[in-house]
Amino acid sequence: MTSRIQALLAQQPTAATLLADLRSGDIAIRTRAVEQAVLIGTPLIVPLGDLMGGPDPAAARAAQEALRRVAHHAARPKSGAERRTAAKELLKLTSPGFGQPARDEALYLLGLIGDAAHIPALRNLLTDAAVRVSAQMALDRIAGEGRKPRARRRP
Amino acid sequence: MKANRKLSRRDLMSRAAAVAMPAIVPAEALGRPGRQGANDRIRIGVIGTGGMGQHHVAPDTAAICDVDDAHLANARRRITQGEPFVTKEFRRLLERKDIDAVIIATPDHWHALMTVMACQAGKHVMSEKPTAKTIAEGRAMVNAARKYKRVVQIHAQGRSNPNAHAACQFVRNGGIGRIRRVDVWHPVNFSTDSWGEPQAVPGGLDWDMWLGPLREMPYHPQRCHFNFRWLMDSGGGFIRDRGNHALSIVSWLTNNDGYRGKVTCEATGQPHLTGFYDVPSTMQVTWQFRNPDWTLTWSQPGKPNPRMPGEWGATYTGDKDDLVVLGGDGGCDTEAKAKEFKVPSGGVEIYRSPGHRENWLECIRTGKRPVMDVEIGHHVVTLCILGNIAWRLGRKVTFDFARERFIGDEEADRMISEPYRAPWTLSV
Repeated sequence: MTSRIQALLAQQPTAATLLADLRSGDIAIRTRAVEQAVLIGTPLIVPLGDLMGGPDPAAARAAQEALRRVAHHAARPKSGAERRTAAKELLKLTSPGFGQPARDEALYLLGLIGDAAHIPALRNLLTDAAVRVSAQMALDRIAGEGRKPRARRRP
Repeated sequence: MKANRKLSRRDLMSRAAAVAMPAIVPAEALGRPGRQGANDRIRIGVIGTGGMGQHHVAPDTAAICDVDDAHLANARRRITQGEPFVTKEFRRLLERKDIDAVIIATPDHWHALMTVMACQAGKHVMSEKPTAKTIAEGRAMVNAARKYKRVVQIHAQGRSNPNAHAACQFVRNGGIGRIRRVDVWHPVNFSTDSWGEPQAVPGGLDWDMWLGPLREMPYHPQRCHFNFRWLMDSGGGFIRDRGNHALSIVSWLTNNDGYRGKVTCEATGQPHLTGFYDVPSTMQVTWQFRNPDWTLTWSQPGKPNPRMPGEWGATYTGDKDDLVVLGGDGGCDTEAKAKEFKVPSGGVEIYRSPGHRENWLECIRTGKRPVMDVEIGHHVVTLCILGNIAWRLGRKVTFDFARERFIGDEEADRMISEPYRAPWTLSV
């Protein structure tokens, strides 16, 4: 464990304090909260999605950055169950109850950390006009199609 | 859009005549590079005429394309010899048989698609840096160049700069001994206090075509011309922009172009939280190479070498001496000891490019590989992309250049490519 992580842990952030800090008008406090998000981890995913849809653009941007860090940290090599939990939480953010930015962001991250188990849910979103492009891109990434040249370019 | 290779020279000469350019022999008519006569004019089209694209438009440019009417009008004024073909749709330009080669100066997310499609259409290509947006795109560009036997040069023009050439000869001939580390310094990324609220698309700009393969996003001027650099999706920050220049020089001087071993990469940096840009404000990246062992660092902000300070540059440290090289684009400079160096008998002579565009045209005529061949560009931009991936993931990654895959990191592997928005797909 690095000294930087130890220093963050020493501050003993809770989900509540961290979400409050992400709304802070002080850029230093917002930045620290973003860095601390991985210490709370996957329980933050849904609240961060809510924050992304809120009226404060600074808080929404901080929540977006925190969400990315939580998802990537959960998908680190050999993380196992934590990755699956993160994907499950991200799937919740794709529902119409969340704002467009949170839905798009969740689909982008699901493309990176999701697996075959998420394909049916993503396919269902292809009929949702608001997110069908993001859902298709997530499907492409999970299926690995984007990693190899495709057969043809559509006209 | 496959190049038609069955047309006879006579057929193509007839077609050339039909478009009232009887003196022109399209390269396509002559098949592979190297068969064009020394006096044959190579007819060039420029795709993307804003930003750097303005500088590629010459008085005799035969065709121009841009999705912004304002860029097109500006480019048209620069053309004083003949009547160019003008279009907002690059596929129309690629279809033309009277265009031999294209210069691609669009935003990054178009470079690979357009290069591949241009090769398929039989055009030689010079594409602006960065080579590509993803590692998979870079590989596709190399594959297309080889499959369709086209000359593809990346416009990271530092390798055509005389001072960079002097530095390369000095270092490659042991001027600093065995290289231990290279430290690149550069200013921080741009910032914004805008939150990117949707705005009306300016008249004359085809925003959907500007986005092309990118995911949908509303228009905002700070997402579009020039400023696309500060979004990870479309630009990747200075490390993938000028980093493609700086690391091109590093790869050249360290003789790393053909490196096929493994490299580790780790990165830190402050997130940008005062506006909607999502590349980091600051960035510190370290790559570790093996066999030979040496370290490369990228620092934003970095510490200029006091012996030769400049906005951006690198210090090359060997076991005998060190050397400063400033810049990496058309504006390279280096120390007197390198400029005054004479290659000893039996030493390493590095080919000296007559100029980046001139080198490209020469290679179209001779069939040789250009100084910044697409495969070198792919190698260099891979280093830049690794820095961004390591920063985004918040962990050290190990990349295997031989397999072009990460080791033991499935999520990082999924970042080797980016899905394209329909209808765009990359097909070599």
